[in-house]
Amino acid sequence: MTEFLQAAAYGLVQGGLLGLVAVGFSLVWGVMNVVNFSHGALAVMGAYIAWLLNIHFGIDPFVAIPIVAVSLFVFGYILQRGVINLVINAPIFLTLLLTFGLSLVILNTLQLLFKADDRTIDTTYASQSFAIASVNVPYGRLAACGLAIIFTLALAILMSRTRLGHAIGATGMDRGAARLMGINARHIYAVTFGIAAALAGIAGTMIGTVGSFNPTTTPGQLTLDAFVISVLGGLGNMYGALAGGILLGLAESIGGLILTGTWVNAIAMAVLIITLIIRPSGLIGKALYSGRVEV
Amino acid sequence: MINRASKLATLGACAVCAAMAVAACGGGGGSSGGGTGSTITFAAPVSQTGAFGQAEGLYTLQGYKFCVQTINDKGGISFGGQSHKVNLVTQDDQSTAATSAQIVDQYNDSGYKLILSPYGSGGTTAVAPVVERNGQVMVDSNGADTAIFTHGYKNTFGVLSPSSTYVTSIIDALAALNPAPKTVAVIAASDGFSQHAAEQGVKEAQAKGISVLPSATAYTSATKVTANTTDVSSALIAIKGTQPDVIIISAHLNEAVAAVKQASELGVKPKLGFAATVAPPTPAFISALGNASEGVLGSTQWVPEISGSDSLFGSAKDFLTNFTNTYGWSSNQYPYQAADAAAACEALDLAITKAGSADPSKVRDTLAALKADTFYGHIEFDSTGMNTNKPMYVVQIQKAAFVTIYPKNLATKSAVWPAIS
Amino acid sequence: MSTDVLHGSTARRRESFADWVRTRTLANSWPALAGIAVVIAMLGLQQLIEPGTQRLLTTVFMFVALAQAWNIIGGFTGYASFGQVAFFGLGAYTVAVLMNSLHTSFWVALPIAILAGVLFAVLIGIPLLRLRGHYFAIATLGAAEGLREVINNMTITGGGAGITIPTFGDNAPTPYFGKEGFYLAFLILAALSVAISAVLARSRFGYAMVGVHQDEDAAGAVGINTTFVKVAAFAVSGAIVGAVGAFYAFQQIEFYPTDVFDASFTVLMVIMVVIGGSGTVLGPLVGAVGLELLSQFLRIEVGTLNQLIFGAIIVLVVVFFPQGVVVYAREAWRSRRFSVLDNIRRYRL
Repeated sequence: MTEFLQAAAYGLVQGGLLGLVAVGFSLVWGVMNVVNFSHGALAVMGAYIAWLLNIHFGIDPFVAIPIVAVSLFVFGYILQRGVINLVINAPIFLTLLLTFGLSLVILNTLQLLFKADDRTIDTTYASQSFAIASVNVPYGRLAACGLAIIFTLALAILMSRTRLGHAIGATGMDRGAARLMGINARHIYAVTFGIAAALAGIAGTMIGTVGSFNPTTTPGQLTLDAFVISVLGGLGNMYGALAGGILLGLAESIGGLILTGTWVNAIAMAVLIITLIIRPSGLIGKALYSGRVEV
Repeated sequence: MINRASKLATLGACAVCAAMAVAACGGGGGSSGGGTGSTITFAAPVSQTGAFGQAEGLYTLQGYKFCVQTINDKGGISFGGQSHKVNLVTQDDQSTAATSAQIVDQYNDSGYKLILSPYGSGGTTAVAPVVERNGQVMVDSNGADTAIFTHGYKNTFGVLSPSSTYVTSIIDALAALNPAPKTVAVIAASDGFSQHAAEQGVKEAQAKGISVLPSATAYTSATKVTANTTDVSSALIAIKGTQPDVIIISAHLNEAVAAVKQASELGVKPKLGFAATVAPPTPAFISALGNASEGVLGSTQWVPEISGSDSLFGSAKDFLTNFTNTYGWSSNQYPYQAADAAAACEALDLAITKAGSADPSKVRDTLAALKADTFYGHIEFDSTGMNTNKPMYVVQIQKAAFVTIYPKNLATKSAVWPAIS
Repeated sequence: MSTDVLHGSTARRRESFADWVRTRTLANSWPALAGIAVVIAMLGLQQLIEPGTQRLLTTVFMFVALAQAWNIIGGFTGYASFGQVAFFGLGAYTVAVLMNSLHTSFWVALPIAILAGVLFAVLIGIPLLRLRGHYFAIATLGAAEGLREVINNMTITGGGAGITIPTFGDNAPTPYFGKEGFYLAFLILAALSVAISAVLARSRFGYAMVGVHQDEDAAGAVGINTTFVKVAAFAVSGAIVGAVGAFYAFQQIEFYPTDVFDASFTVLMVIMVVIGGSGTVLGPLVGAVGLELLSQFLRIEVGTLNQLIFGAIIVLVVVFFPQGVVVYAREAWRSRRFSVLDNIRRYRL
């Protein structure tokens, strides 16, 4: 029973972190219909920025978050406005290919700059934990999970309460109509991608703080996780991404306890496929932009 | 229809042109392989991009380069009254086994018969049958999986100790420590190398009267983790209630780093300390874990304290000094993979000198009979091609430096034990 | 294209093979003749080329077959599978397990591997081909990842420790083909896949696939059994990829699940098809030959920077030739407008 509770507690906080990885990916997919293969690369880029700030200036990763977020927002904005917007009206697989190519460029640059070695952003507290009746809860992942909830709420408020959010939502639902209303779609798309990149960078920073990262295997894993979670949670649905992340985190930790060896990965994929077949709009509610009008 | 016809005709032209272009640009490979001229070519697939690029693959490449440079600085390989310079040919395999195999096939076509292995067991496993079929000779520097040597290949020789000794050496070192552990838990990655190592390690532990928790077969089920994963929490939770004295991780860098970090997160505290196979003796392990790496034991192929020496590199200490100076490493944190690589290259050198020829079949025969003491220790291959006499060594990370603690006669400092206070 | 669909669905009389042969003239046999000429040229080339490039060309042929197979489901039918590597791994492991455990001849194992591909395609195709767009993509990706983990955990496959096909001495159920043998084998696979694709493209079935791609509901309304068309296209694609995987396994001899279920195979198939020209017969061929030669050239000549440059080239090609190189060339030739800026204007925001 203790084992089960421990796995559940760990899966819960781990899941929050996974949700943070997915929320930006889901936003871009929902609003722009772009499957962003470079999402994991952007996350790792954020992790490297936080790592550099930490080793050179001793800046705590949680303090570095605003710097990482702003840097990634600017990078994401330029990337969308300068490159991805060039093919945004092309069939979906072109944007997918484009972001795949971009990801190769980003990651190989990072690899040349920082080598392929695993890195972690070292803190004294992130790997420590407190125990409640012999169930340990790690501070680092708990804080990351808290951040995930805060940023998800902030994003939801941004989308529902602000002019910018309404503009993003409107552009996502019907770009033609949105442009007729005077919305600069080019700018809105770039802002959306910038927000997603900033969220990816924050998630990467957290992953580097509680775990480790490298430019070769981490990005692909993160993109795949984001892909799966977005589908589970429903596209463009902010809370869905968080819930999907927690679901995946719990499934992995509890599944890992019950199943031997690496069967848990096979089961996770089976769950994904069955979810898709039974409820293609995601487990949690319906996709935000299911009523999309393609232009 | 006309359209389709012109389409296909263009295609024909294109395909032929493209093939011609490849033929043309592949044509420059020039220099004499095998030893017909005065230069001898050593050829190696190396990982410059992909998972091993700029990491283990780079260390192996640095070892090869350092060796070839040292040979040439000393005038080359001497036989038949002449000295022969060595030319090192490399190609990036993108850390993909199939590409390694393709490259070695291409080398054969270009007449390069003397092969140095790519980094890692995966690549070497794919290359070994190609080498065998082509009548090339390979000295394996970094592929330790015993599976490479169980297919009866005659042309592959590994200078390094095989996978079976990675965990057994840790068990032996632990048994010699005070206090010696009574119980260990073994976490093993799902790849062949890690599983083989764990299997032998568990046997050794039982032979030494150390019990394995939660069970002797747990490494194949509850504590088996996906190779290269960064989440080993389920294995740790399976261990948590059993409170072993030592947790041993038979895996690569990712899993070992995750295990140490997540154990702290989950409150899994071995009474005495952690040990892992290939990760701790790499500079990346220390940089990835920072203070948490202190006190972790690791098994390694080579330490600079060993007594052997040779005319090429001098003593093990000399090798360390010269190599780290050349490539800007700290002498406290050196990549042992480079020593493996240099030793493999040196084995080829020794065999060619002894054979008095760079002919692959002659080199193969002298390699099979080679008995040499080098900076890397004793090199002598058994009938399967493994260098079984060479022991493994165990280091402990102390103040961000590798400190040799086992075997006892090579230890420079005593182990900090228990490593966990 | 739309007239083709109309033609396909209204052509009541099915051409018999004899009719087809009778109606052959020099004018309408050009494509086939050109194809045969290329194959013969490549066979002749084998004797001429720098020997070191023979294995490299073998890899190029392999990707031609893989890209053509992906194009059948992803290009013609419009169901972009991100799990085609599942068939590759399945074919590879079927052959390896049969030859390793049962000592079956390769020539017996090969059809079983193809059959396994077809069965797996039908098995997962029936539920998954109801999903559209990204959902189909992610579901097939999941299927491939899941299958890899299953094989990773089975004993008969050797699990994560890998598997070896016995090829040395008396132990070998089928003599190893050697480099020349595999050059020939993959050349034939490539030629067959192009031929299958060309024949399908101008058959009733081909028009049905394009119909499903363009408007599935409309295709259903005019009497096309869309489920059958989709599953059959998936099965043909799976069979080709399975066959390629089978030969690849025999060529490699020893491999691990991560080698033959490597998602980058799928990604490469998609890239090659899309960059060459999706939904055409020539596109995947041009894409596969061009990209694989480019990638190998960069790998050999550029060293550490090779993947970075490869990525940058993908970005540039996608931006400048979003409809695929072959489609661009064809349209440019017809309209005599060669400006790539028109291309960018078309898809940019």
